Amino acid sequence: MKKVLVLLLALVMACASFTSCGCQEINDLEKIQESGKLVVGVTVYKPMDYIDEETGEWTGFDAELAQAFAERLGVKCQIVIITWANKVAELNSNQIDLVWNGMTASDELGESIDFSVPYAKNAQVAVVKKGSSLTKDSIKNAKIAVEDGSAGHTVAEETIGATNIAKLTAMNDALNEVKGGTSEVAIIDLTMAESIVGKGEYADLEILSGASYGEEIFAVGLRKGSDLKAELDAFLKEKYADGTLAKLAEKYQVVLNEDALK
Amino acid sequence: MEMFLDVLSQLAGGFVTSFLLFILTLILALPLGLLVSFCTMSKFAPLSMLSKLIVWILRGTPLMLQIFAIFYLPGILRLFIWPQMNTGWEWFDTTFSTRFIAALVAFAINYAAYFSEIFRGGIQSISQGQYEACQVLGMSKREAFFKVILLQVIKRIIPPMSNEIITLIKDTSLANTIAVYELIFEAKEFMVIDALIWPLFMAGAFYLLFVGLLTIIFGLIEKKLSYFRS
Repeated sequence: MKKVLVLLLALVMACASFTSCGCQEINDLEKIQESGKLVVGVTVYKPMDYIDEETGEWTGFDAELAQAFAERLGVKCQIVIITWANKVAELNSNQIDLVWNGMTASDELGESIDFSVPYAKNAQVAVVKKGSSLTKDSIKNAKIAVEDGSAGHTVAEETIGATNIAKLTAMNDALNEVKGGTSEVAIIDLTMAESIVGKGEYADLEILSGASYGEEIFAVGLRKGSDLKAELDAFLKEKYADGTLAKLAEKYQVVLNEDALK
Repeated sequence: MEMFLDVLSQLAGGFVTSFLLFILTLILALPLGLLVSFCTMSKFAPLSMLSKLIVWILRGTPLMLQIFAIFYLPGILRLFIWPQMNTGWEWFDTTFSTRFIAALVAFAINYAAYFSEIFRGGIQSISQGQYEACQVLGMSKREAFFKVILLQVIKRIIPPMSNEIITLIKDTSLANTIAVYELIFEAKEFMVIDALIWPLFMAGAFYLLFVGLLTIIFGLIEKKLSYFRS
């Protein structure tokens, strides 16, 4: 019976910590200096974080910045691939220190984790088959594919008000739905759409003109109350001021969120 | 062709991880399952109740949820973090990552729960008369179990065990939910990075071939164990 109680208690505590505000200051700086490495959680996401085919090393707008930030802290940068849906659990369970992956800073997410200065911006776009007769107004009643829990998912549900939504585990799956004809529209990131739609396997798809929604801002995710935030914000502003960010943005075709970085 | 070989080698690497997860789970779960089945059949009520409760929880919740809980909960509750291998041998350290260890623990205890019920069924299917006969022949309880009962149990549980074991190799794909770099994870990476869909189906062929091999092996084992024909 005692063990049952302990188990139940553990469950209750687990639920509590999922929802707790975590108001206390968290000494991440000390922890990182001690372990000698900054662990950054990413998914393979061009142009933010991906592996250079020639060198086999991580590269991309976010990866380069993360490495520069680790260097500034005087530690090694360890980039690990995570499952995107688990990012909050990864942070709260101390498996990773930062989520640096072109992450949209939404209000809901802001309740569980902290954000850095929003350094870049993006929009959600509708992708359809080339020659599709759908328009911005008619996609409301079309079959829409999205990545479950992504910003595109919110746009499809709230902004477009669609009811026929297929929730997939990745943005690529949403594109595959449109390619395969099981859905008519995919709502995905502009950054991602620009880099793969109309090329390779997705040559027969196109971005629906005029259907751009909810401009959003990208930020780095931190544990709630992490003392790393001040350091990170100072780093980003400094890199903006000295022109490094503008250079990277041009190299990787990312749109900087200049208002916040000034 | 170059792409095909590239995908093949990447998937083969993923399969090694899947296979290690499979074989290590078996090594841990088989003895653990036997132990749990003894606990379940124990005459000491609190022990059998507790073990029945644990089996109920492990069989009653999705394995995917158990993997998630075992990997993330210890850290969230600030109890401990799964250990990171640090031998300096890169292949070893990346293969047996914290994620792999957590997944292995989850698979081992989940499968031990299923195995324990198969063991229990097998053991209880042996008639009481045989125990009594052993007693008459002056064998101890231990002797009776290991020399007379166990061999018959093994023979009887081979078909349900082969079923579970075949399910296990496919279940290892659930580890991709905590980003263990197993076969399905590697195949999905091609979808994300190169916008290729076919590697996922090629991954299916890996499972299919391996299950074919397992089926042949279990067929041979069943033939070998055709003693005590009744």
